[in-house]
Amino acid sequence: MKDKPIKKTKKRGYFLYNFVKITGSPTLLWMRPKVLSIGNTKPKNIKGGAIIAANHNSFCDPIFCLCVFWRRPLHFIATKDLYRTKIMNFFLRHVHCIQVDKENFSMACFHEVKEVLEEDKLVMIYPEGGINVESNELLSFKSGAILMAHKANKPIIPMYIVKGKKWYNRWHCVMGDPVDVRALCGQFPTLDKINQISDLLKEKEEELKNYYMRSKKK
Amino acid sequence: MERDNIRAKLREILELALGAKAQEILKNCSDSSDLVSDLGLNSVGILYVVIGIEEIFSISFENACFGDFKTVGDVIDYIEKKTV
Repeated sequence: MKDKPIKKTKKRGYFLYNFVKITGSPTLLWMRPKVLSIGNTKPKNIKGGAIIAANHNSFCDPIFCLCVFWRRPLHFIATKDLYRTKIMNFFLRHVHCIQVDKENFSMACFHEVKEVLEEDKLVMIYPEGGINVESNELLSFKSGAILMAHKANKPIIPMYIVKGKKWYNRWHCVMGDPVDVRALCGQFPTLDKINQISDLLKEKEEELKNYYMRSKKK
Repeated sequence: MERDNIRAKLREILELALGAKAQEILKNCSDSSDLVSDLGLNSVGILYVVIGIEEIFSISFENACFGDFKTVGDVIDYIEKKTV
């Protein structure tokens, strides 16, 4: 086994993260994020650690999410392929992305997500597992996020990012009420139960999509 | 911890992971059974089993990769090594 000791991060520095946010602030003018919500969930109301689960339409989604959660640091889960070059590797590590290898999952990723959530920070996950460019329908959700939320005992907040028609259109998203995984499945859930909650999360995401469609028609 | 004890506890975790078809699948389960092809576990299933092992045996898989564990025997070996 190739076990290396886990590097414990005592204090996370957010210098590069904040630098990117400040220098990239003109994107706020481009995207002009508009957040709709079912219930009481607004980005500024979210306190403590949580997983934000959103659909993934384009490479710009993480930038949009940064704009939506402007006041709080977001930790993204990024696939190992993005870390190929030295520059990207340096950049993604210093903006606190969490690397995931889809082919050969490492427990280091799981432990890092849990650690970040326990520090009361936000983790952004795209449960579809990749960018969905081909259709407007949501792909099936992977259950890994549910397991992570359950283990850290933190809620999952569903978020639907609306696919923009033109690049200059204002970006919209809809946020739903938090899903408390522990309350739904107890302390020792079966894998079937975890998969059911994953399906429930997808249903909630569909609800958010329909809510946006209805509000657009009005 | 004895290998038989580890195997019995691992079986309990696998029963939770496999759900209704657990008895049927685990009937022919041995140390050489492949986690993916014989037991039908996907990556989430393996993650579930690993989390269960961490809780029940009070060990940490640290940054072990799923590719390191091909068979039930590999998992038992790892737990045995960690619980010494």
